[in-house]
Amino acid sequence: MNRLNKILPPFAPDYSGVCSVLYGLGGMTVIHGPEGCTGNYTGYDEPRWFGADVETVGSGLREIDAILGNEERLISQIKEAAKRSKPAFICITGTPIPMMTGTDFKGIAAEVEYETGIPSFGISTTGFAYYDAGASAAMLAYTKKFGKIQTQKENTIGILGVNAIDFSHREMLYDLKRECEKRGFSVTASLCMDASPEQIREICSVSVNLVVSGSGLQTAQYLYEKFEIPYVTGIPIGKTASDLVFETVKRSAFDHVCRNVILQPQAAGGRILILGERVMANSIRNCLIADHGISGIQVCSIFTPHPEWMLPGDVHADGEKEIAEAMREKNGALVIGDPLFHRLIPGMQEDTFLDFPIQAVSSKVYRDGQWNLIGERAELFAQEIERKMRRKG
Amino acid sequence: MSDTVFCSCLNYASPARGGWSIVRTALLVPECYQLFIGAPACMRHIVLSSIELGVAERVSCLHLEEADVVLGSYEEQIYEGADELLDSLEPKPKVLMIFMTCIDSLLGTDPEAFLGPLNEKYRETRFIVARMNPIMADSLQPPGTAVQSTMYGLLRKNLQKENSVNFIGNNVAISDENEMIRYLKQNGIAVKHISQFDTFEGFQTMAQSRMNLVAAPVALPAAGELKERLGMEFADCIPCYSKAEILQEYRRVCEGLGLEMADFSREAEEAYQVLSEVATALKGRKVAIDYEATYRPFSMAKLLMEAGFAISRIYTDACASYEEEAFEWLKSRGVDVVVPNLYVKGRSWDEKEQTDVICIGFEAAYLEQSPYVVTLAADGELWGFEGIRLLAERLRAASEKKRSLEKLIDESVLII
Repeated sequence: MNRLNKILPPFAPDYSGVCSVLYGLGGMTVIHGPEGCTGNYTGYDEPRWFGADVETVGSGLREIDAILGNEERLISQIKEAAKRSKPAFICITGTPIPMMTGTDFKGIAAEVEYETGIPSFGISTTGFAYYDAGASAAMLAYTKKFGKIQTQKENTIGILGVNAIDFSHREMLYDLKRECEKRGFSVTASLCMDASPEQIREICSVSVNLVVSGSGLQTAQYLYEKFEIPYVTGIPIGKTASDLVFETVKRSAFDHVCRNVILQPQAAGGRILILGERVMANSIRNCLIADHGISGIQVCSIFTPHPEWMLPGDVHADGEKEIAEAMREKNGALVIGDPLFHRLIPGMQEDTFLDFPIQAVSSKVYRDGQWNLIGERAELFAQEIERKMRRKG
Repeated sequence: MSDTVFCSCLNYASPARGGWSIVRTALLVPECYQLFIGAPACMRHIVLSSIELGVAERVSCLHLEEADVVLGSYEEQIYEGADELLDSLEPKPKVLMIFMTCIDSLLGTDPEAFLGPLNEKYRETRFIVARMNPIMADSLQPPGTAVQSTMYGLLRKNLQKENSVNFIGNNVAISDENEMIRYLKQNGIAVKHISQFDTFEGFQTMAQSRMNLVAAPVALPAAGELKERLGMEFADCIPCYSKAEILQEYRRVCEGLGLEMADFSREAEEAYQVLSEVATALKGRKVAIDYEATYRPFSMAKLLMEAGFAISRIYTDACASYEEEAFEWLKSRGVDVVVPNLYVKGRSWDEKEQTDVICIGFEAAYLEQSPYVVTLAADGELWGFEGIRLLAERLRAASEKKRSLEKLIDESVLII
């Protein structure tokens, strides 16, 4: 099957995830590729770019250097720039052309680190994978490089998997931290957004981690394996569902068992289809079940698949055709998803679709309509769902 | 003489970086449809910008996967994708531009493998391979140049000539108030620009014109090709910013069309008069210019400085060979030339630290932290003495009104 997109843009790529995670940590992130690659990130995937004092730069790769495998130009460009800006670290991340030429990012980073004395790491993103894969790799690389071994502190929590692509609504992370504090947890660090390098270094000292998107899983697993820090997957959305998330967090902090907060709908999917990032979509479902008693909800993830977080009946759709297919199969259900998905089914009734703009899909096109669903703020969203379901009949 | 490049450094892209994209430029061809082929990442900003511009119904993309690229088994997919796309489009587009992205430079795609069967199946549509490949930015055919050749390569020879001329290379039509355009019209010569046509058939009448007036350096190769292929003469009419150069361009146009050179001294005098009035009114307020605003930032700066404006800074990473004299002139007067793609630590956008520098171009405005912006890209509709008058008026207007740069940038859909 060919992968023709007639309506949807390709989703935010892996290297945008890398840049998003490393934003604001005082380093230099180099997107190794031709100019247009950088434009994706700065123009569409990074909502904080206007006014940013962040050294995310492109290498301006040219054909002759790609063909000849001339990596010296890149290395000398990085050395030159590092001399001027003295970054705290250097990350070199890839795009499609370096993937084709087999660029050794780890080798380049090692050479850069040796020559500049600045901690460096390479991430071999390709531009073919989704942002969450890049975000995940960057978060893990940064944690491994800078995490400090420490004694664990009681009632402290790390939030893993926040980035400006998944949490593009400005107040969402603030509210998420507040929810944690309200439940008696002091937030040590949120990886990797709105956290200082010093805070992130402390991540190995937390008593438990909360994984709020797929991009946080790898780091959570690493911290569990290396430091026995348990993790819970789920976002506190809705009042009762949030209580459940934090009860689970407390249990996991106590017994050191990792858990996912996924409620089983009472009836098979059929009434509601939620399309989106897996942890977010599962957490919305949790809220609808626990807070509003709605049943028959199916979740369809659309980025990197996570079978471990799927319930029986859940699906994964890869690209425009499969998303449209998932929507068609649920004919008559209320679909919750990015407004661009609505265009995939011509003639689809207004009352059978609820706009839930996703930065990694439609970028800033519907940014004003993005929802903050943390805690009780989800109430308005749930009311809108109930209203649509009533009108739909 | 080749261009002088100031810095071959890592590229910082400010939020104000970008201009008319390849997509937007090529969509000036009426009734065409664009299909982009490449890695998903290569096409995200293309599709999103087409949504922002309200032209998404004319743009699609076909993702390749890593395995396709490694194995080189994608020509069949291009055929299938284009076939599926065309099957769903009614009416069929007159032209399907199949845009190959950077990866094609390393793959060596065989276009005949899909063009042949597509031409066979859809006889009412023309299929052409186009390029959006910034990896070739330093070559003789960078994307901005190649797209002009693609667009005007669609013109077919027409022996039935019209008494008209075309402007090519500029994204927006030159103002009708321009003295040369008025003079041409007085002499019965119609002036055409691609943006005035709604149909592909109408666009084809550009092939009947007597001459192409090239309003941007990126279209010079396309003009050369049109001369070779269709026998159309052309004249370099890239907007310039001195009386002598403007008159030289006008002479070229008149000679090419067999017209007597008109006397434009009144228009020149009026334009310089307005320029001088605005310079006086601004009372030494600084002016900065960026390279996205004009193909001749140094010449524009020299014109303004001679008229009494306080030019503070020029943002560009290169000096074109035809600008070297103006560059030297400005340098000797201490005008600062700044490379905008160098990351500068500590730079941000703080509402409280805004300056009152009048900026020609978005990037200059961002880097100067100024809300006083002349929203100009690639010289816009400026040309000749009327262009100078318009520039002066726009400087005056920009100096009087603070604008939200972030909003302006969003509305302008600037693409790198």
